[in-house]
Amino acid sequence: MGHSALSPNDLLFKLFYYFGFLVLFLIVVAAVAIIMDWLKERGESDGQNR
Amino acid sequence: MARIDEFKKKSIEETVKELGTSLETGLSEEEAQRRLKKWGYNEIPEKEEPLWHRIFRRFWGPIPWMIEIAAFLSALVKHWEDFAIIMTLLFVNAGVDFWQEHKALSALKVLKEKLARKALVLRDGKWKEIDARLLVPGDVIKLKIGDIIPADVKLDHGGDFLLVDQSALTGESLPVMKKPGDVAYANSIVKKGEMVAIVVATGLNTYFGKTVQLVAKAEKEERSHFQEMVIKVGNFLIALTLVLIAITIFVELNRGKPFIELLQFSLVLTVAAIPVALPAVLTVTMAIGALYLAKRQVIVSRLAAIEELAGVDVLCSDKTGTLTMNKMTVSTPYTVKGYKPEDLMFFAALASKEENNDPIEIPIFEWLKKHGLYDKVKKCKQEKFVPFDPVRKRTEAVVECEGKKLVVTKGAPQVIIEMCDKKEFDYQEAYKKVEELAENGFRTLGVAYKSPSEEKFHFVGLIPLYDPPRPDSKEAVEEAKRFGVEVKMVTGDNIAIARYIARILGIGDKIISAKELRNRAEPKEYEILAEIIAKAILRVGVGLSEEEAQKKAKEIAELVKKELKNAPLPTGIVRRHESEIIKLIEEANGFAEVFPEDKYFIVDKLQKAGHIVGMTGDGVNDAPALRKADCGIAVANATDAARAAAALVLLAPGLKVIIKAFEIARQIFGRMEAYTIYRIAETIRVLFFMTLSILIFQFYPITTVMIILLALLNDIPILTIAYDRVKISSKPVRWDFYELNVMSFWLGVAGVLSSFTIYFLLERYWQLPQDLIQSIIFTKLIVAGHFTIFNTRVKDWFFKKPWPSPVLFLATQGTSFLGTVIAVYGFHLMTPIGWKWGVFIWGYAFAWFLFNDAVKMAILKMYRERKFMFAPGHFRILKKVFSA
Repeated sequence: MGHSALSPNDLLFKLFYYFGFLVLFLIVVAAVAIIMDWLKERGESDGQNR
Repeated sequence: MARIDEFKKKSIEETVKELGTSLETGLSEEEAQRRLKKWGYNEIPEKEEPLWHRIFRRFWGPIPWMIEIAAFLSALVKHWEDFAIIMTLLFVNAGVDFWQEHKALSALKVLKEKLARKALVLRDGKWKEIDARLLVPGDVIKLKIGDIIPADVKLDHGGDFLLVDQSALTGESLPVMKKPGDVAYANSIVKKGEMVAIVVATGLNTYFGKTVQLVAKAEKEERSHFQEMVIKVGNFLIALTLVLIAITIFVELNRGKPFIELLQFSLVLTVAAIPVALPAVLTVTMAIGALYLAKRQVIVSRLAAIEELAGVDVLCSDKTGTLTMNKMTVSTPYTVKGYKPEDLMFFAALASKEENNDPIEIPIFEWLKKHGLYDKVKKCKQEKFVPFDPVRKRTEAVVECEGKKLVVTKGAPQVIIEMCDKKEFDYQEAYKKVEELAENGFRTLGVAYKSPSEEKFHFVGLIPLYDPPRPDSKEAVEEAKRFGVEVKMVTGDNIAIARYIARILGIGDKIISAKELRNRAEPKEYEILAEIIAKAILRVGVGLSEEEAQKKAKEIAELVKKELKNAPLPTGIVRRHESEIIKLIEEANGFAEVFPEDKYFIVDKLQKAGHIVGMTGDGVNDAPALRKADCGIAVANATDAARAAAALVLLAPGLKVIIKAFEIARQIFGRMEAYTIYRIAETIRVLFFMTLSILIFQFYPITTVMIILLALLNDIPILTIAYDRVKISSKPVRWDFYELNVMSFWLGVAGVLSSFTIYFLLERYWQLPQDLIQSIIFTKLIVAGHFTIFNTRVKDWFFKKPWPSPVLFLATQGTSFLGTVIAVYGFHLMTPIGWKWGVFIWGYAFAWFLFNDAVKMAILKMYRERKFMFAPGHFRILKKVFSA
């Protein structure tokens, strides 16, 4: 697809490429953690209000 | 001529007759409704901008013009894809702007509704409180001290006079005395007195309305200091953009680039680079914050006040009602041998009259109810009651209880003790107790009784009364300390009470009397000196007698006193003198015996010492101090005048709401700061990378379409900034524009560096074709740009709490991902890069994000330690430029 064929195969490219996968994975984990944390905090403040 | 003028010479009877009303019953509700239809609301209608105009405005102005010309040029050269996407940008920008304005306007509307003035009106024979805007001519209303008169009125009865401040209308600096039969104008303030009045004219028919009509007043929301500064920074960036783009156009034209395409590219780049949305985002962030505050019963009178709220470092808080309950309560009673507290309270109740609702007597009955003794009191019949008067200093009642007659009395303890048989009890111990209670700020009542035939009373004991602190006050004071706000107590009560409450609440016990401040404020020693010198000269030089010289010297000293007030003294003397007072005020934990005028004095001196001062108040005389304070706070149930002067109006009592408001204001501030740093850094990144690439390397890093996509995808996360979770600063927040600009500058530079690095790698190292390089760089700009928000939103490592709000995180990462998908597949907008490059860019951008976070931490460290760019005396010119 596209210029994927033009993607190099050297160490520098691979370094960022695999790091990119890790980043995407971390973003998904972060999203879950952030939502959980937010829900927890909202629950606590609701409790206070009640 | 205003309608009120017609009624000036008319008698009250004529006025009543003409307006078809009654002083006994007022208007009926039906009649009021009918008149409301006829005369309209009692308000000055604001010119509401029509919807079509609000929409049209988005397409008219320098920024929309640039986009519109770019679209026109695209159509001219038949670049239809460019045309379509530029038009999308135009509409999205307009939509976002409209939404932002709508949010801000809605917030302001809610605030206005919450601040709506009320009026006490007689309708259908009953007094009721209604919104002042619902008043109609003929309504009978009650005016009292602190009220802002809601309409033009004819004063009638209910008091001898009304002292009215109408300076805002007529310019008269002194309040005017009004008597029954006089007229009073809408929007003047009642300084003294109480009176019933008939509404003569409302809304635009009032004297005020007529004046307003003459000056077509376009009410504009005031800008905060921060907004002003940000706008200055924005203007600087706009100028920089225009200069750089003008140079680019000039160079590229000489290189033979087609003019129309170059112009189109430049216009689009300008739109994408300059922080167009910056002011609107700040307003919305404040508006949403203000709504949040409103939910917590704190109303900001103007959005700009949030900035001042966030910066308050000294809060002068009223004692009564804010720190304390404003309700007298019985503390531990003291009884002499042979009596129990129950007896003491029983006799005290007998010597009281419940229906009088005397604040001193209410707690006695409450105590009895709480202890189940109320019924016992009710079994007794009060035959005679002599109320308290300042001469006798006690009440006395003759009661009959179960067939037995008693004379009971309660009042000033010394008076009561002296009336009792001192042989029956240890009166010295009783006096000692009285003193001890007074030292601790209690109001004490002595209680005694006798049979009618007895001469002397039998002393029962003492009832200590006090206004207890609110249950949450101590915690609020501690919280204030934690957030770097010093609470100073301000009260009209005596020092003992003030010290007692301050000690309980942990405010500190260094309480000074306002009298002390007033004395120190006047340079008394100069007056005495003047008198001595004058006397010496008059005796020796003029040869007057001792007596004459003394008399004349006193007159001269008076003149000197006046001169000292008006003439400027040598600065050193004044400063030394003032600095003493400032030191005294700064070191004090509270002020007792304070008059409203002293509040102004205290605020002034604290401000001179460089503090940002919050001051609470409720009365009409507090208004000047509230206006003078950086953040005037009208407490719950404050008068109209105080509310109008304050930046913050509380709808709930207590200190806790104030402290909460400070915290929320700091959060709002944090959001604004984060966004500003991000936006300035982004401008530097895009602008410098683009123009330097073109000028030096003759390479267009991204195409016109890509720039527009970049601008479009940047618009979405902007909308969520106002909802981010930010850390509450532990210190009062003040703007340091130098820090803000240094941070933006270095983050911008790091961004430019990362863009050039990838450009070199793609072009020189991997030698990719130009179209592919452009698509990859586009992806990099989107992903890395959006990561920057997470650098700027916390002044700590990015992973530290508070974590971003889900909406901000998802909007930011979602748009980054969308940009990546567009680049991966191309969609006929650009050369597709494929997933390998897409994933590569996320890795590359995140690596630089980590580097940027380290840059941020280094700058923060420099800032904290005042090193390098923050070292005193270094980078002077830069400091001047960056401090705007």
